[in-house]
Amino acid sequence: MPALPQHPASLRPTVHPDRRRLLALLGGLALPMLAQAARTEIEVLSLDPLPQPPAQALADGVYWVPGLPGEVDGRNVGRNGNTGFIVGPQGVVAIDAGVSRRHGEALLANIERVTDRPVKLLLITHARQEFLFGAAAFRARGIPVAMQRATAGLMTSRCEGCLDTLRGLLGEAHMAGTEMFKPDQLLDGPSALGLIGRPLRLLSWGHSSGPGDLAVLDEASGVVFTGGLCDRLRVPDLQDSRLQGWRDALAALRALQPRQVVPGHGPVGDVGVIDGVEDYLRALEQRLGQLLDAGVPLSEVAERAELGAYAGWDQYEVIHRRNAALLFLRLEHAQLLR
Amino acid sequence: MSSDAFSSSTHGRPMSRRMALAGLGALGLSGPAVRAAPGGLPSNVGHADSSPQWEELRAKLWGREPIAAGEASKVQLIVPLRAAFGASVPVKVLSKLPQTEALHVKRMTLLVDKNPAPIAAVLDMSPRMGQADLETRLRVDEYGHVRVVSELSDGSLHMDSRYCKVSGGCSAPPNRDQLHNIGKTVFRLPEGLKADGPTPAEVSVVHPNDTGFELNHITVMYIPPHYVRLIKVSYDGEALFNAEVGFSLSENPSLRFKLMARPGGRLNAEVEDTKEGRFRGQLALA
Repeated sequence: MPALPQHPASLRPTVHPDRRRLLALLGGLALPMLAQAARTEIEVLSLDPLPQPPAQALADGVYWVPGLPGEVDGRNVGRNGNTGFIVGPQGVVAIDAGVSRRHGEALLANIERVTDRPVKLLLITHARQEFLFGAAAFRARGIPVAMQRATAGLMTSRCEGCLDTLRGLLGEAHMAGTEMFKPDQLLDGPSALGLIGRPLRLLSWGHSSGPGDLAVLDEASGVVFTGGLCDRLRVPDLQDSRLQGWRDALAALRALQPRQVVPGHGPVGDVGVIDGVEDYLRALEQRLGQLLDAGVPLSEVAERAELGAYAGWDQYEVIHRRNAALLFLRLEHAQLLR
Repeated sequence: MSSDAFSSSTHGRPMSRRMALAGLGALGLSGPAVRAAPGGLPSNVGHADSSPQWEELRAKLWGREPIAAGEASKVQLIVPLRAAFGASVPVKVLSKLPQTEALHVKRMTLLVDKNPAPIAAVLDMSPRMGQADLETRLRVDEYGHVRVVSELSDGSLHMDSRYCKVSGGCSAPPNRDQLHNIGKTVFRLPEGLKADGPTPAEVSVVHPNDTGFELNHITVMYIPPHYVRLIKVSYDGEALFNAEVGFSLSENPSLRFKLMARPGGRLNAEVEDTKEGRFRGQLALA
């Protein structure tokens, strides 16, 4: 990893115990030792033993790294979100960064295995922990991070809490070097990006699955990275959403006729990925409308909102139940206002 | 107690209820701690009744008085073991005795041990309810116990508790649409009017019930606390219950209760919030 600072061999983690004791003593006395200890941490990060699938090519210069299914836990260590990158003549743009600095380092290592062109920019599609916090690895190399302004606001308002929770869940070792940050560039709505000498479209349709959803279309290949707008074989999460905005964004996305769709979670597919999200949202709304009309109390909503067709999707037991409660509360709120 | 529809039983208690509601936020649990519930773990949770927070609350609110639990308790609490959505956890209380003049639930206290203000609601209840059952929605900040303590008119205390886990995920940004409708108060009879027993009814208040611990995701400033603190419900001019409530009640606070009702009767609600907002709602029963 050429970008990492070099360090004295004596500070490698495999150092002899006696020597380590001596170093610890010295560390307490001499300030320069602290700087060296920090470098050791980077060394540890680069020796990541954790599962990280290799990048897979979707088209010439377009890659994705599949996330792992399940809730954040010790086995998947929070690597639940898909990430990817696009290589142009003048450099690389990365799309989403993973859950931790380690995860971000692994993505950068994946990029380096494919190309030696410089990584010019990290785009964050939406404010969810498994897409955000790997930004620390990019920031450590001076690579700017960009996201929609509304995504930055949501991140600032809640993600310190997510980070605390992740530290508790995964432990300090997995989360080492991971911290809250401010994006270097704020995006307002859609734009074109020519930074890497390959035309990319940054797509934004306002508050949809979340307040600042961003999708990235590679014009040459027709591959689109949808971020929070689409999940596949995983239950879409309504928590940050505005449903009408979401449906409008999905329709606009389909109208672009993408050839391949990289969802935020789950495997890559064609436009059928978009249909899957729409179908789920429609089925959910229909069921919850029925439950509200039937006067069902909230305590029974999660059980009575079962949608068997989706029971095999990842996170059905958690996200679908929460979606049902959330949508019920929203419909009830609308009813109160009538 | 301002209104005296019910005799107050706070005399001789270590701490008055209003003091408790106002002061328990400062039980060493204050600060911006309300945030996303963790996903998944830990799995090694017990269902035993006690917790350090409860021991402290119990001592302050009920001193050393005995509190019946388990089989001996006259109150049952139903809470999902794993709540679908931590910002609005449905909580149901069933009383194992009817409300009669001779013996009834006089006061019901709902607690969430680990919330920054653990006392969610204190309700003074009338025999006219017919049955002291209650359903509401609570914010549950962390894995922990939700409890109910009922005080009967004979002075006995009864408790039930449930350990509640909240499903993982990030917290939702607060819903800030329709601010001008704050305070709209609506009654509903979800099962219609019952001729032969207590009728279920629900009162809901359109209100953000802001805790003061959340950041606005657009301005990134703390949203000041603003929540409903009192809901008084009467039927044909006589009090059914007075509920002093806190921000542990979810956005759009709602109470589902029972009353002995007849066609032509009239339900009234008076609501107050922490910014001196006063609101009313009513329903003529058909």
